[in-house]
Amino acid sequence: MAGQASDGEPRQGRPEPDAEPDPRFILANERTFLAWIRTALALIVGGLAIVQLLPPFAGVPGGRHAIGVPLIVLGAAMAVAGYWEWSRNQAALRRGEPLPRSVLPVILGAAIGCAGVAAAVVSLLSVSR
Amino acid sequence: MADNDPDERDPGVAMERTMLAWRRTAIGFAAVGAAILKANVPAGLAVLAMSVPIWIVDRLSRRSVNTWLSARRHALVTATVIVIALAALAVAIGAPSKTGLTRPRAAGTRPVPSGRAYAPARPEAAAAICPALMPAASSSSWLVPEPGISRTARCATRRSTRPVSASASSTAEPRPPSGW
Repeated sequence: MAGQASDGEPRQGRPEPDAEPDPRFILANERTFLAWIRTALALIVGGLAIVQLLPPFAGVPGGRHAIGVPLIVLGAAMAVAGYWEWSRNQAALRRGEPLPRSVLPVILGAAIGCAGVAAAVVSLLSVSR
Repeated sequence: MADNDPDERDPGVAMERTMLAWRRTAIGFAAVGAAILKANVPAGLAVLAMSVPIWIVDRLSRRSVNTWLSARRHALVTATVIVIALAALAVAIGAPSKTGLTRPRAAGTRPVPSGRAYAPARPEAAAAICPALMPAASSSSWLVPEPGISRTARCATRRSTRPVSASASSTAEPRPPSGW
């Protein structure tokens, strides 16, 4: 069983299963969730600013939307994924299990990299025409 | 005695840091609302108003532990972000962009192609336009200044849009041309 050694004794440094965990861990998990929420908000604002504030790319119709709209969708997805990860971590803390590995940084990094490449391609196309 | 020990009440100041994180998030919501407000006033006001419950939800949930609000505040914040993303999508796709970088077009003129509003004029075009604006300058029969009259003063008089007789100072000629 999780949280117990093979001889049935509770493992050192881990709470009993379904016991109330250390509040500091709960609060740290909550702060991490809020940090992901702020990241999602920043993505949404960035996408909106690209569509609304940038001048149109000459010769590339829809270039601003091609960069900005995926960022807004990514922001919504990051909010959902952040909540999912918070609940997963919360359950693991209550069960006394190790925290599951997060894939959100990988997804965020890959998505921002793709957005940067798309912005570079659109800019180069706009300059060459 | 334990109640007087700050580290005992809030070990590592974790609760205070979490409260500050909630407030930063509320400020983030307000900033997003202000950004959307520039493009769409009703959607921006709605998002701006959402920052208020985000600000107070943490305080309410801490006062009464294990209430309905405390259990669902994370889901509430997530749902709010999704609503904001949908509003942003509607603004991005539906509303016209406000770049503020396009030159206002005069009435009766043709629209300038996108991205070419500030293209510099070609030298050939400038060479064709200048004689048309100053016909007398390019058709002088003398090709040299008349005696006693500086070329600069004559050119300045010709560029004037007002009649020469409208202002004595615009002629800039101290005496009549020779031979008159």
